[in-house]
Amino acid sequence: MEGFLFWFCGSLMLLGSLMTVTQRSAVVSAVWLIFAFICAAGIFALLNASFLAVMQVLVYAGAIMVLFLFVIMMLQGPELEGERKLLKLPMWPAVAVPPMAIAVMIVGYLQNKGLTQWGPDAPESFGGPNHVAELLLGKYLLAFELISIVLLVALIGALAIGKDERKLPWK
Amino acid sequence: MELNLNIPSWSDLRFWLPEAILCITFLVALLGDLVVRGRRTWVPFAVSVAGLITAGAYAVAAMNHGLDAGQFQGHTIMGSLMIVDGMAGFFRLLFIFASLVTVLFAWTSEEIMGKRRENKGEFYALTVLLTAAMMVMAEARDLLMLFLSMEAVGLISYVMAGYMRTSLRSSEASLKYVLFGAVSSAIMLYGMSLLYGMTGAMEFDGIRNALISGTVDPFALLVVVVLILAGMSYKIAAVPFHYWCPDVYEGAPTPVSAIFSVGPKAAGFALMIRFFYTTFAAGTDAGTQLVQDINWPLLVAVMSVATMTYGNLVALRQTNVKRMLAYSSIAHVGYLLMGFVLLSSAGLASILFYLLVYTLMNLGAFFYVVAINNHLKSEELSDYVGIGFRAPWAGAMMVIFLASLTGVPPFAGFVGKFYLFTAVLDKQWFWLAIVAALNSVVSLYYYFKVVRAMFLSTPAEGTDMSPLKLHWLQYVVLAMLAIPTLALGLFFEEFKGLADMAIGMMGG
Repeated sequence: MEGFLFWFCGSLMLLGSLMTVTQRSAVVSAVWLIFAFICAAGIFALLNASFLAVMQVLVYAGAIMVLFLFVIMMLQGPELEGERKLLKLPMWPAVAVPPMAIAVMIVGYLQNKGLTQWGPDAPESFGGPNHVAELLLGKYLLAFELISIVLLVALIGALAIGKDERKLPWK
Repeated sequence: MELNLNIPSWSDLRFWLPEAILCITFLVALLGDLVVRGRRTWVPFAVSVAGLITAGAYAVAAMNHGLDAGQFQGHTIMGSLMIVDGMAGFFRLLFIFASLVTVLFAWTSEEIMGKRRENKGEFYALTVLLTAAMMVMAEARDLLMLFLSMEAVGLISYVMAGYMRTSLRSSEASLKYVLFGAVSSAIMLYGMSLLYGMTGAMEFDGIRNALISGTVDPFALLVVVVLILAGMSYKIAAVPFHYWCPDVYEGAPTPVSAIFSVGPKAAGFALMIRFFYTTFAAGTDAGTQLVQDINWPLLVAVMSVATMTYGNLVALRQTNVKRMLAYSSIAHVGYLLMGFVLLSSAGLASILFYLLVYTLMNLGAFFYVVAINNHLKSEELSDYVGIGFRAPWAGAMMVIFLASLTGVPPFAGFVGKFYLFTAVLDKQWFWLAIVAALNSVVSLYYYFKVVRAMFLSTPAEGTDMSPLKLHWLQYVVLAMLAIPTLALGLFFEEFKGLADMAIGMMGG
């Protein structure tokens, strides 16, 4: 049963992400992304990581997506001159590798169904609030701080690039 | 409900002082910029220079202390996330030096400062933070830290590439960088998640132990190696993940291209060395074994040949000096990758030494382009005709950099290549050495095309031949790079020894 649920959630998540990248309208893409996030939450739940599943729905499918939608709403994207050229670049290695890898994994699974568990067993409290807190504020404290720096850079970068619009060449 | 918070010891952080200083410098430079906004543009610049020098002093002291103590096998920081060992110490110095000269040179660059020298505080602050992030890349020994540091470097780079907001080219460069960066991060992250799924470990030695015990599927492991290698090759711009490189270097402000061409690349190499040599290769120098018989060295060797050949051949056709330097930097990545496949500490040490040399000469060449761009507003080769006589000293230094990039004796580039080739021949990769030697000959042509334009071609009638007045700081920085490029070609023993020691003191 668990196996079936995993493939159910997993394939729906793939569908969701595929629709996200193929839709022409940004808003529709965003809605499909919410769908993919909820499927990811389902996979977390299957792993007994109920806390992560709830957080996935609250933070990603909820808060972050609202932000995304706001940004899409406010950005009436300017047409850049180089935009068409960008798609023509020979991006084949970047495009071809992930689907190939996924195909390889699925074929591998079908050939050897015993391969469902590669790693050691998860600890008892895996994915619960305690476990997450222990890792976040203990072992990975420094990594956590590094994320805050990354976010700060993103903020400052957005300001540095976005400020004073009058001088921009496409205005 | 009891939390078992296993907070690692804070006292480890004393080994992490240079990074901490740089992070604080970043904040102070930003705040200082806000406080004096619009008035004293030198404040963020001065803060950044001071911070970089202080961090550099601490890094040198830490290196000396480690060397004196005789064993610098590394101090882990806050658990097993990072390690400061000989190799990390070497890269720290390299990054701080590269950023320091870049910040100094950027101060004189019109592309960065704008015509009226309006306030550009964020540039200096971001360069400082980029240094810290690159240092973390060289220290990471945990998949999480590896990914986060790469993302930090990436994000800072995207902002810096798009720094000339009034230039469409710069915005385009930034956008391309973001898109390629996102795709390659995703690919690498996928590989990393598979690796974690197979081994149940995030820290490198845990992964290695799980791999040695041999319960993983070799084919899936090969997929993992390819995916992770793809993400890392993007960072160092190796073929076939180099597409972003020429466009970004050409579009970004030249001082930014300069630091991109050495900093993140060197950091990428540090990361690749630490990751592949701790997880996928077990044992030490004499008998380094491949884990699970995954033959990644052959894979990288093929990449190396493709990279150097592609870089050199395409560089031949370039008419824009900046773009040519971008392709030349791709070619150099090809040479560097040769040292990576050897599974010997001689190979790794020659990578480190070559990176040091490459930093000096490549920064120098890019900075000359900055200095000329201030006056000509162009990087086209056709505009470089006769420029050597208009600023003879700077021109002479540019010739040194280009000759060194080619690998002509007695310059540093020759010594660097010599060590690389010796290491390659030692391990009997003859075909690799032959291709690389042929490539060096090809590179002679396009580097000397620039020299010919600068000094030998006759300018057309009516070309402005008045002397160019370069900022004194530009002469100082160029000399700071040209003199070591010369000196390292003659007195290289000391620094090669440092590179050997750095690799010898690489903690697991």
